[in-house]
Parts: sequence; C-alpha cells; structure tokens
Amino acid sequence: MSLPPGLPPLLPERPLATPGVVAATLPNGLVIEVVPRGGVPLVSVRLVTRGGLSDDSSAEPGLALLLAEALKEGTASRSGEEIAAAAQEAGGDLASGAGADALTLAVSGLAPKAPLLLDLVADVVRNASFPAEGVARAKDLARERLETDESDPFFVAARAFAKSLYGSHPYGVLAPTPASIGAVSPARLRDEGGRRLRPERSLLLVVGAVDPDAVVREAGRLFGGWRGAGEAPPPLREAKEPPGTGRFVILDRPGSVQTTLLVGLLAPLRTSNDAAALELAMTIYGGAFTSRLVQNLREEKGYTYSPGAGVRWLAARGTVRSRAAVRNEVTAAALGEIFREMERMGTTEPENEEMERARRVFLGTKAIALQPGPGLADELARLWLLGLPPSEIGATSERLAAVTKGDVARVSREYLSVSRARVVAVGEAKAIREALTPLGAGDPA
Amino acid sequence: MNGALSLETRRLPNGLTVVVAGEPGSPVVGLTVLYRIGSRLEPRNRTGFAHLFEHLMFQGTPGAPKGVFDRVCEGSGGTNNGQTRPDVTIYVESFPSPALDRFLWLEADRMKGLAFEPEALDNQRDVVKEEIRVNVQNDPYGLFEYQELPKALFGKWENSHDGYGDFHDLDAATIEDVRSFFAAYYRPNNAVLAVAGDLPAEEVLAKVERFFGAIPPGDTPSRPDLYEPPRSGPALVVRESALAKTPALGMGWRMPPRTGADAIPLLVLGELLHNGRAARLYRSLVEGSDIATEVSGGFNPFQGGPWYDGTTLLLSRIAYRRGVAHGRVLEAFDAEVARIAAGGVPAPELSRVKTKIRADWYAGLESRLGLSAELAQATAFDGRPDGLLEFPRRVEAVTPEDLRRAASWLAPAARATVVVTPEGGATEPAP
Repeated sequence: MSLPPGLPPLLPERPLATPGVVAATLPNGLVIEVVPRGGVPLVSVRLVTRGGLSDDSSAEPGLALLLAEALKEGTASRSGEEIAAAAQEAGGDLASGAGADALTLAVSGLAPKAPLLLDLVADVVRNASFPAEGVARAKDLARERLETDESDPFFVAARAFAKSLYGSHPYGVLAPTPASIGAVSPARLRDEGGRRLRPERSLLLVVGAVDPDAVVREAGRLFGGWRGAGEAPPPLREAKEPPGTGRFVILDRPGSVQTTLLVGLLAPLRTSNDAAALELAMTIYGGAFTSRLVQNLREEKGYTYSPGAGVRWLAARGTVRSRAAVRNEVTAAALGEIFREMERMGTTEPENEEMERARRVFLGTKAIALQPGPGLADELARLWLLGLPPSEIGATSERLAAVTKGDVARVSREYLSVSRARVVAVGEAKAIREALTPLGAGDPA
Repeated sequence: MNGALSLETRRLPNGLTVVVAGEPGSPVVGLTVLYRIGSRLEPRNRTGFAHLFEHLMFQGTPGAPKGVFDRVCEGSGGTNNGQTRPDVTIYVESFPSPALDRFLWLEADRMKGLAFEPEALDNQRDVVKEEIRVNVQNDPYGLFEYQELPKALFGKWENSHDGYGDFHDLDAATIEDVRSFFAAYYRPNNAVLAVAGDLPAEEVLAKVERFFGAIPPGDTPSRPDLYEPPRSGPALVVRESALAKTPALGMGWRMPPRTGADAIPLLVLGELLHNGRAARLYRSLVEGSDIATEVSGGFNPFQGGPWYDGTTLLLSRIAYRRGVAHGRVLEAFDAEVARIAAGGVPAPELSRVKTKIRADWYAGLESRLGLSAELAQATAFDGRPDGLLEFPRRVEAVTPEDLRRAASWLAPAARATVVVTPEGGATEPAP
C-alpha cells in the first residue's frame, strides 16, 4: 500500500517497558506483586488462585463458578450485605469469577482505601462461611442465569466448541448443568473452598497510587496466617489433540437470523518456541481490523459486523479460534472464506508490510492495554498463571523481532489447519445445514 | 483530579475547540474528535443515518482511499473506534506518542472531505445490517432498552425514534444524503478535539493549528428544543420473544434539563438504586426476595454524566425470574422509591454511594482514551471542560432532601415500561 502524500513520518519507536513491580513471597507461599504508579488516586486489588474451572471433576461441572459466587455471601464476621457495603465504602464492588485456569476475586477503589480493600479480600478468601440461605440463593441465581445464557448463541457455541476441542479434559467444561447446580451444598463448598483456596497457589496483585512497602506489610499481616485445608487439587494434565470424529457440530436455534460460527484448534503452550510466531500469524490472519479475515468478511463482502480470530493462552494449552456471526444466507460462503484464509496463511508467506504492520499493532495494543489500571493487573495475572515473570512484558519487542515470514507460514500450517480444525455452527439448522454439508457438516448434534 | 494534570483549552479561528490534557507517565496518547451531532437530529425519513454515516467516516477520502485510514492507524501501533450517541458522535484513537502527527493528519484529512463512494455506502449498509442483526434481531432481548423503551417513553420524534434505524430507511440512504450530512454537521465549528498524553500542551496546540487551522467552517447547525415534561400517564408494552428463555423489563422516565437543580440528585439516585451489589435494587429484588436475577441502569445511560440536550431518561433494567408477574417487579421497584421519598437515605449509605461515584469517575479518566473522550464530551456541551472537573463537587453537595425530591420524578404515572417475555407466555401469569 502506498502512503498518502503529506502523511507525516513515524518517529522512532519506544520499546515496551516492564512495569516496576515490587514482589514478595510470604512464608505460606502467597506471591505478592505491587505496581505503584501516579495518575488518578485509584487502586486495583485482585487475588488470583490457580485452578478455577479446571479444578472441577467431571461429576461436578461448573462447581468453581458456584464457589466464586457463594464466597460473597458472607464470612465469619461479615454478612453478604456488609461485604457489599464495605466494597462500596471504598468506592468499589467486589467481583468474583472462575475461568479455565483461575478463580479470581477483584475489587477497585480509592487509593487511600487500599487497607480496607485488602482486609475485605483477605476476609472473604480466608473466612467465607457459606451460609445456608446465601448458598441457596446463589444456586437459584445460577439456575436462572444458566437458563438466560442458553438463549445467547455465543454462549451455546463456546460451550459446544470447548467440548468438541477438549473432550474429557477439564477445559472441555465452561458451565454448570441444572443437576450439578442442584447437588451443591454449603458443606461441599466449604470443603472445596478450603482445598482450592490456598496461599501457595495464589497471587495477590495490587496496582495503583499506593506505597508498595506499606501494601506488602499490610498483606503480610492479613494473609500471613492463611492456610489451605485438606488435600490440594492435583496438577492439570496437558490437553491433547482430539480424535478426528465429531469435527463439525451444528446446533439448531429456531428463529435465528444469523449463524454463530467458531472454528479452531489447540494452541501450543505459551512457553513453546512457536508462541511469538503464532501471535504475529494470528494478528495478520484475524487479530486486527486490517487483518485478512476482517477485511475479507466485513470490508469486502459485508457478510458480518465483527469477525475476528486470536490465540488464547492457557496453562495446559489454550485455543486458536476464529469467530463470526453471519446472516443465514451467506453462512456457507463465509465459512468457505474462513477456510480459504486459514489455508492461505500456510501456503504463502506474508508481505513485508503485513509483517511490520502486525508487529506494530501487536506492540501498540499491548502498550495501550498496559496503561496503569485494571489492564495491567490482568496482564500480570495472565503471565503468572502461564508461569512467566513480569519481565516477559519487556521482552515482547525482541521476541517479535526474531520472527521470520517463514516462521509465520510454518506455524500457520500447524495451527490454522483446515483439515484438523473443529467447527461449531449455531443457527437455524433447516436454513443452513444443506449449504454447510459440502464443507464437512454431518448430522446435527 | 490529581495535581499532575494540566489542561489547556483553545478555540481556533475556524471554530474548532481544542482541549489538551498533559499528564506525566504512560507513553500512550488518547485522541478524541467529537462532532456535535448524534442520532436524535438525524433526518426524519432516515432513521439510523447518523450511525451509518459514522461507518462511512472510515471508508476513505480523496487523498487516502478506502483502507488507508485503518492501515496507517494499525501500522502505527494504534487502535480506533467510533460511537454514535444521542447528541454526539465520537471518534477515538489510542496510539504510542511517536505517532501523534500521523493521527492528527488522519483526522484532519477526513474533516476536509470524504470519498463519497457508492460502493463503500453499499458495503457499510450491509455491515450495519449485520450489526443490527447481531445486537438486536438475533439477541434474545434485542437491546429493547435502547430500541423500544424510548419509543414508549417519549413523544417527540427526535427522542423516540430508533437510532439504529429500520432497514427500509437504511436502504433509502444515498450518497447525496452523505454529502449533505457531512456539510451540515462535520465542520470544525461543530467539533471538539481532545488530546491526552505525556506531551507539552503548547506543542500539541501548535500541531493542531497546523493540521486543522485551514479547514473551512460551515453554518452553525440549528438545535431544536428536545425537552419534554414528565409523562402524565404510564405506558406499557409487552412483547414475546422467540429467542428469550427468561423475562426482562425496562422502565424509563423523562428527566429534567441537565442544568436544573434535580439533574445531579437524579444521577445520584440512579446509582444508589442500581450500581453494584450494595445498590438498593440488588439488595431488595435480587438478594432479599425471589423476584429478579440482575438489575442495571441509571441516569442518562447512553451518554453518561450530566451530558445531554433537553431531556434524557433514567433507565431501570431488570432481568427477573420465570413465573414472576411483571406487575410484581414494578411494585417492588415502586416500594423502594417510596421508601426514599418518605424517609430519605441514611447518611452513611449516601456517603458510600458518593464515594463509589467518585471512584467510577476517576476510573473513566484513568486511560488516556477515556480522559480525552470525557473531556471532549464535557466541552461539547459547555464550551469548556470545567464541568467535568466540577462533577465530583456537585455530587458531594447532594443532600438526603435532594434525593427525596429526586424520587418524585420516578412516579409510576410518569413511567414507560417495556416487558419482554419468552414466547408462549408461560412465565407471565395473568395480571
């Protein structure tokens, strides 16, 4: 692409810098990371515990979500209402959730209220009481919310995609079932809470306008006596490529005017030698607005509003996934274009300009996400869960610079393979099934 | 906000208002260009046009054909977006500071003129329809609080019509419409440009003058009075959704002018009722009874803060349980408001709510993009950014008596309600 006349040149790049992290480890194993900064007088506190949904046994799908929700229902000294009021007093709202790799408590507020926020998080993680009435309410809400989620095509597609890609591996489950919700009891949550919430598998992150030494001291006082109870959950096994059957799933959604498409494969480990090349490959393929997939499906064909693709790193192998919601009539055409763009990534090397643009937008987006605040806390949590130090941020520029065009084509052949990809289509089956058959669709699930 | 922030405001001879916020720290710059036109003042037989036009701002100019804007943006390490609101349309970018000149050039280039190509209009018409399909037609609730509630609540066409647009009006849009809309509203005298970054203000102002100074102004657009007094009787719309599996409802009330004494108290009341697990409605409808599963909403939800022309709405959106009658949800809501109207709010609770509002306000200004966008919006309404900085003080001044008065605006008789229930009506017992 030629640049328009008169466009000013770019000034020299500044490399991405590792933020100044003050780190400490308590004798009980809790890792503490504090990032002090100027700017607005806010502080963001989160406690990240390894495990999350991947700690759930196949007999108790989604238990981690119930556990996360029920933590906020009360402690030995605070009712659920008092927990909410304490967070509000600091200017925040306590959030809890469970993902594939972690259970997280997060709350932000005014920086001078940091001691109150730390006290609140410590109280919840150490002294959650799982009162019968609160647990019953959490179960009721989980049941209603699951029912609401069932009407969301992205939820339905993501759940089926995880099952298809991971099979019986714990990553194959994203949500509870009505039966698993029904089986939860306060005693079960108390046992699992003690077993899972342990200092030696947790990270306390504090980002904000705070004195790091004071935060470490205060955290030592509040979390120093924390211990897990019972036997710790076993380490997670690495996910394996699924068998070749059941590759293409169509889920019927009567009345749907669009088809929600997910296409993808297992990612390698983030510590693999292919990681940097894959990040660049995915940026070129579908990870930016000027990527091939978005330009093709949206800006040329007008098939979809917000298509895209990306790699999601997880501790035991994440996913490389493309997504698009397209109107019924062009479902097969859109999936055909996704397959074509996946293949093209492996058969021809990218242009120099594409490589450079991908590198710039990847680094720029990272710099934007790492502005002091919740985004920085999220990134530090992600790195820790993947077993990487904060200095990985400062190494990003060098990692990307070492990637060649040949590397991009090579990793694309491996991770954008059409023949090995899993496909999920959620839509009006009678309107789309016939057209999808030549692309590999079998009977509806 | 914090001592390190410096603010400079200047109006160029062509009418462009420029705000520069200098703040030491991160090497990221936030840039917002705001045009003082939103979906409320789009042409009458062209619903959805302000939003469709926003898409066309990314579709090329005579000097930078389709594709160049985004390629230069991403090739410079930046990200961008556009958002059409009721009274303003904003274009925002985040990028590393060495790319500042490029982004100013790109914004100035499209303020000078667009490519006005029919192919791009057809392409973006398709994209916008897919946006409406994914967010409205294929969604179980179809953004009913944006789409159907204003229609039920307001009388004036500007306030009540669907800003996403119906497909018939989108199909009717022509390149001539695009040209005349651009000429009427996309001129420097109808725009605010805000830059936030670790940058010397004088240097930034000099650059803005260099890139934008020669762009000719247009006529001053007219601004009809959009105010509407409270409804004198309730409105209720109940519809079934083939896609929804649980019911939800949205309530709205017409609000007083933003400069009146009740606007900020109503904003505080909206937060007290809705924001977070400590909020009144969460405590009473979700935790304290078996009525609801989620509550959200507040004052002026589609633009934020006290920024709107004429009137806005206070929204309450409640997802409730299957088997509960919508009348029971309304009663529970009314009981909560009546408690406040009769007895006010305990001082510790009001103090906590104010603290939460202040923290959320800071959070909105934490990223450079957020800071530039908030400054641009405040400046668009007042001609200067001071209103944004004074906001926490105005919130702090609200008294329990103010809240009692504010609660009278949320009368059942002044309410419009839209109820969405799963098809078959099994969840909606007879009223």
